Amino acid sequence: MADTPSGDRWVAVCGDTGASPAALAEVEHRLLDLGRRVGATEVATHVVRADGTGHHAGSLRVPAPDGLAGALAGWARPGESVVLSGDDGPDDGGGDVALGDPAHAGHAADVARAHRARTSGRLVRFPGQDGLPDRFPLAELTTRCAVEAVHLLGVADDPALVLRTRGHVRPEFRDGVLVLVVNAWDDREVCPFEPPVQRECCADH
Amino acid sequence: MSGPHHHHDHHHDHHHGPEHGHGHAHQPGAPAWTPYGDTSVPDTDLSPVDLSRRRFLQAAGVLGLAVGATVAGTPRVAQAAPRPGGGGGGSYTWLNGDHHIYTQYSSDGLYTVRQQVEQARRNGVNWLVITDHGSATHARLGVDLVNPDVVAARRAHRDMLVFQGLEWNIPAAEHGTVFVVPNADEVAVLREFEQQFDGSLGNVTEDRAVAGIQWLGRQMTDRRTSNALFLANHPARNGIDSPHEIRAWRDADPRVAIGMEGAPGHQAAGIPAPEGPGEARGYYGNSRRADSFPGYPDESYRTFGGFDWMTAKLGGVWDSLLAEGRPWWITANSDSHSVYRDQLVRPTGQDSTAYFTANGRYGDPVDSGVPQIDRGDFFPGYYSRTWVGAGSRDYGAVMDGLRAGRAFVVHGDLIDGLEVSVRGDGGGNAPATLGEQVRIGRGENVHMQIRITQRRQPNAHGDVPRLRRVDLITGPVTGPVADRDTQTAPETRVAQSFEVRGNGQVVLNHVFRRVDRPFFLRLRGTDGNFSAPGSIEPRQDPVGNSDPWTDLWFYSNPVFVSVG
Repeated sequence: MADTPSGDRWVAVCGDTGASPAALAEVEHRLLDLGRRVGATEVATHVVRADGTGHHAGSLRVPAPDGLAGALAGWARPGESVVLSGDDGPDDGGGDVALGDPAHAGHAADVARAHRARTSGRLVRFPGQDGLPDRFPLAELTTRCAVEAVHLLGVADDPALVLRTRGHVRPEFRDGVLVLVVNAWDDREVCPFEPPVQRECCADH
Repeated sequence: MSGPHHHHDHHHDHHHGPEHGHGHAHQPGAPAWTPYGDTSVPDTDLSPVDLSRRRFLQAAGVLGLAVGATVAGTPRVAQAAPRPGGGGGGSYTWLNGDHHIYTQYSSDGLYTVRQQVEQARRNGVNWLVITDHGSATHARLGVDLVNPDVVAARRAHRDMLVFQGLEWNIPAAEHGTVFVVPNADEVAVLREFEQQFDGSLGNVTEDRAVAGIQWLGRQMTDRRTSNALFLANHPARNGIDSPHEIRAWRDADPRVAIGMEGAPGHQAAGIPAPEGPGEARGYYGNSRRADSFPGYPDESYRTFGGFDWMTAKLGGVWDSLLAEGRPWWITANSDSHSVYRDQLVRPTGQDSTAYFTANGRYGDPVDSGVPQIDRGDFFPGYYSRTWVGAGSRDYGAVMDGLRAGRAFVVHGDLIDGLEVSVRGDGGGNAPATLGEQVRIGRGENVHMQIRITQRRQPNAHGDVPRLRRVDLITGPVTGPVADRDTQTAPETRVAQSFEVRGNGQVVLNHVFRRVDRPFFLRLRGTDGNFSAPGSIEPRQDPVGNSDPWTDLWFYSNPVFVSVG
């Protein structure tokens, strides 16, 4: 478990996005924009399971809360809940500040807690991400960025494995560890399990 | 269940290479040569499969006239358990086909019906289903407009069985083939089904899928059609066909919902760049979505030796269904939309969404003069075949064979024939073949015999594929599960692996000794080129480089053994 510097805040947003890849792209777009403005170190997406189907939520980790409240004011769209969670609040969310539509406030609070506890979240921004080259030894991944572990999917462990990022690295929190799942790309080459573009074959009709 | 023995029974000389492995004079490396189509080759020199192909061609003249008579059959009785043994697999006509094919009447389609049928025929296909995508445009226009083309193809090719079907957007799930036997109501039944139940037309809940399957069953009961089938396509691609949905489909009407693609199409997608698309084999390159079943693991989103994880995973989803004693069968298809290296493209001016929406189709394709290497599909029969043991050479018999599970699937023509016979040594009941169930007395030995016709001609890639290993897979039948999302059958095992040498007829035997509980068995075979690290299981296909021609497998449907 990484240290939690005093002063970090977690911002989570949840609304009725639907489950589609397009909805996910929209959530990412909004969070990345907000993250840039408030200096977030981590931007994550989450799947919220409710009513038999899933929808998307997002969260930010923000180290410098100065100006955060101002950036969030009026940011939520109709139907969205935004929760601001401090690092010193009680873990049951009692210290959370909820903005926007209360309908999804519970989900947003859950997401903020999950990001903070590193139990779930798919990171679309994380420290070290921008400096990753397109191809490099897989063994160097954990020293080059915030990813803490690699999970090999269907590939035999080999210290010579090369990671081909395809410009798209999206690690996930799993049990408190930031993990990148990789699968075979070619002989001795692996790529992240999540592709740059989810293929919507035969789906545009 | 132990005590195996086997032998190989090669009828041809082992000392010759594959190009000399049979006695017929022909041009080596000429893939168009077919012994069954060559009248200089006597019947007695043909393999059973080739003989059945020849008989099929010989009967062709009668076939077209017989169609009208065969569609008026009586509705089939609901089948909730495997059918009892019918005496073995030797008496059927084995017809290969493809139930997942697109045309210009799909928003992502290209070819005319005639082009797909002619390509299929060139590749030795006997039956095929035209399955344009369900959509608002298709429901309004395409479902009707495609029919005259289908009827014309039937008339032009009396030796082909050309079904009209639909690629159903299953509500709350993936896509699936729905098709009916040709008759005067075929278009009406398909149109009404699509308009009421397609996922693109506002049907987004799981109960609408069940209702659609039941509606098809009622059309059989009401004799609007004598035969309707539904098969789930690319079931694991996006993790959205949950185990409980699959069970619900089967239970909705077991006459209609009979199985799933064991292998998806789009098998050229993994040909590496720059020669090919360089995408995941089968276009299985996605990861979990918000609407995916959360219980599926990461690996389920990839193919394994070209096969869908539900089928390829030993003791996985498919085996969990079979372990219930639930008949659920597999097929393999092309999913052919636009073909790797083919030069045809949509015509300028008739290639837009607006044109498609207004006309229900794109214009007939034109030759671009340039091989299109970014396409991931093959034509029907070029790579994937679903071989069905049909009682006769007609539409209803192919559908009945599929419904009975009397089918095996092959990539790259790894094998040309498979006959399986399973019997108790007490001899009290008729032997069972694929899809059937043999009942034995408690403690009896169970004898299995497999006869495999190996390929002796080059496949579409110009290779003579070599079968290297056959795996006999078994698992106990333990009855219905309480958890409808069960996706494992942990007792499933490879009971025996048979190494195959030579290129002649292969006969494999296995004895299950003193059997005291019910079980299923199924087969898979491979060219032996790739396997998972440290295992004989199929390899998870690399996302950017999976040449489909160097990793060939066949899978059979199961045989069930019941006790007492």
